[in-house]
Amino acid sequence: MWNSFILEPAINALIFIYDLLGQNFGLAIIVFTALVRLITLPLTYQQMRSSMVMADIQKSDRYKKMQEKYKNDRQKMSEEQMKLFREVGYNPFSGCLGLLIQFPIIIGLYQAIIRSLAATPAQLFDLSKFIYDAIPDNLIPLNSTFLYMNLGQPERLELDFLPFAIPVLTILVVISTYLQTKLTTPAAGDQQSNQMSQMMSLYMPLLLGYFAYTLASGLALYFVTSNLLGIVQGLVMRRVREANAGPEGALPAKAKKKGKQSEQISAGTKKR
Amino acid sequence: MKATRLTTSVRYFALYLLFGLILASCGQGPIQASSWPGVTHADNTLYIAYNQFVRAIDLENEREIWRFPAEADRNLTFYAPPAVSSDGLVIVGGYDQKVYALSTSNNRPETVWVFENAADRIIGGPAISGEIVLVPSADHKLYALDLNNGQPVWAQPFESKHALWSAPLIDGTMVYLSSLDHTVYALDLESGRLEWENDLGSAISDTPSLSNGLLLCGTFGGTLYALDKETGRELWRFESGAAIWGNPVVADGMVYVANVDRDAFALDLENGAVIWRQSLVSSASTSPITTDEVVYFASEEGAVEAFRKADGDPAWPSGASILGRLLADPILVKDELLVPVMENNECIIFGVNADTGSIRCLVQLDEG
Repeated sequence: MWNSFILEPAINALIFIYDLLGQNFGLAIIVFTALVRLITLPLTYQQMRSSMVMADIQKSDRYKKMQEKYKNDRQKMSEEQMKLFREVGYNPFSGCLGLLIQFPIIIGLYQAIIRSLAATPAQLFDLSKFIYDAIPDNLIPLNSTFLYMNLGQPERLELDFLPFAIPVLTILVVISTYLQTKLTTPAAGDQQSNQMSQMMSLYMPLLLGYFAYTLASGLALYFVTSNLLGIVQGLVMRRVREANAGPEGALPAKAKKKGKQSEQISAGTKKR
Repeated sequence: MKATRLTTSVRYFALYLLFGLILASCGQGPIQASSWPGVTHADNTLYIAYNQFVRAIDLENEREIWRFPAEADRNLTFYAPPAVSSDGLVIVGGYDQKVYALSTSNNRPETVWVFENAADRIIGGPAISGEIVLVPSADHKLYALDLNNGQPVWAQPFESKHALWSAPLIDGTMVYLSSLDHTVYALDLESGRLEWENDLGSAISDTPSLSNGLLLCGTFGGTLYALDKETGRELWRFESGAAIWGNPVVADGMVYVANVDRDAFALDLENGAVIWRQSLVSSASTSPITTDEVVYFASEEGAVEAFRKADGDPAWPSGASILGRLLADPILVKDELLVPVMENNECIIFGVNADTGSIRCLVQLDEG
């Protein structure tokens, strides 16, 4: 099931793009990653929007006052919170649903890249069984050279005047992961979420950097491409939200339609 | 609040997953094998290159004689079938891009020399002729080394356009080399000079077979080519319909070959005409084995099947079934097929009785 519906189509699409782009696997990874991000845009948009809205809500005066007022009554706090979510048109499950659906896609994409590179005979044998008849046989094995890199091996840039090699892609992975994590997990109001955000922005770049340093550079290229597109998407969404929000701050769209949403959030407790 | 917790939980899960992956890759246990065992048989000894060790097994008493290295090293793995010289020097290439020459006198492997100039892994097995050892590398190059000291023999290594994953075939003064760049090359053994080349249109993953002046090559595109060994000119071709991995075997004027689409064929060596065809249990990446009467095929999902060479009828009431993946070529020793297996937690070489198909574990996995 996994192979038939996720892995095989992904591998064949990747190889098709590779052929289309003059048999350049580096470009194929970049374009394929962009396409997958485009296909999953509604999900990532929903997830980013959800975390931004949640951060706005948690930073709002109304939420903080609500927390203070009902700090000893969790039941009431929960009820008030759900009421606030309804008022501002925020679906609390939309963020994690997008995140959950993205997991298999990300894993499928990762597997497609690794399997297409087929760095060992066993992997190439497995690849031979995944390829559709429409893919020309002469494309296999793929040419894994991209710029100065062998995409099947960890990347190192060797310069004549330096006594050591520079892991350029690893550095780019660490920086871009840090920026993307910072951008897509805005500082939240409560302590637990803040702690989580700090952990993510610290450990994720290190972990992905470790993978980029030790595994095939094709994977590192995927990380960098995906991160850069994520950063662009996050920046655009942030700009749009800021532009739409006006001087009072970024606000959920549904509440805006109702009018004076910022006032609802910031002054809601006073109305009570 | 529940939703916030759920989102946070999902993120924690992702983080723990990444931690788990990192810890798994940093652990001290045996690493997961990334390819199938490379096995060679010489002087009643079985040499097995698999994962973190090269092991020598005495087939007389079925006990391990030695292993190299003595302790597992996470940065050192072996899958290329070792080559053994007439005086017992074992040449083995590693995924660490090095070639090791091991002296095995006193049943203890000692490194005689190490060749370190390759720029990628050694996946195909070396081949020895006289004082020359030829080593194919995934860096696209074929290195010719002095058997005694590991020094290069040719002025330059021969370079193809893609990785070399299969052992070269040496026939007198000629070397036949198949490459993933779709081409078969014929080289002069002494100098490495290119004599002829023939682009077959898709990748060739195994060593060619040579018989009656014909060079037989199966390709990823599913075509079996018969080439004139002197000129490389195509004499006939056979379209099997799916990728051919294992090189064909020739016996008594017949060519036996299998493909990944579960087909086994017997062809006429003269013209490639199909004599008989059988369906295998699963995809085949291996070369068949022949005896006087029977041809044996091992296929991926653990099946070993025997057919009568003359008409293709099954020679056993039912095929032998082994737990694991059979992707490496079996070897016939006396009346037993020695079948390397991948992804079996206990056994690495199974013995299959050539007459009855009964199986036993011949060599335990034992990853140290």
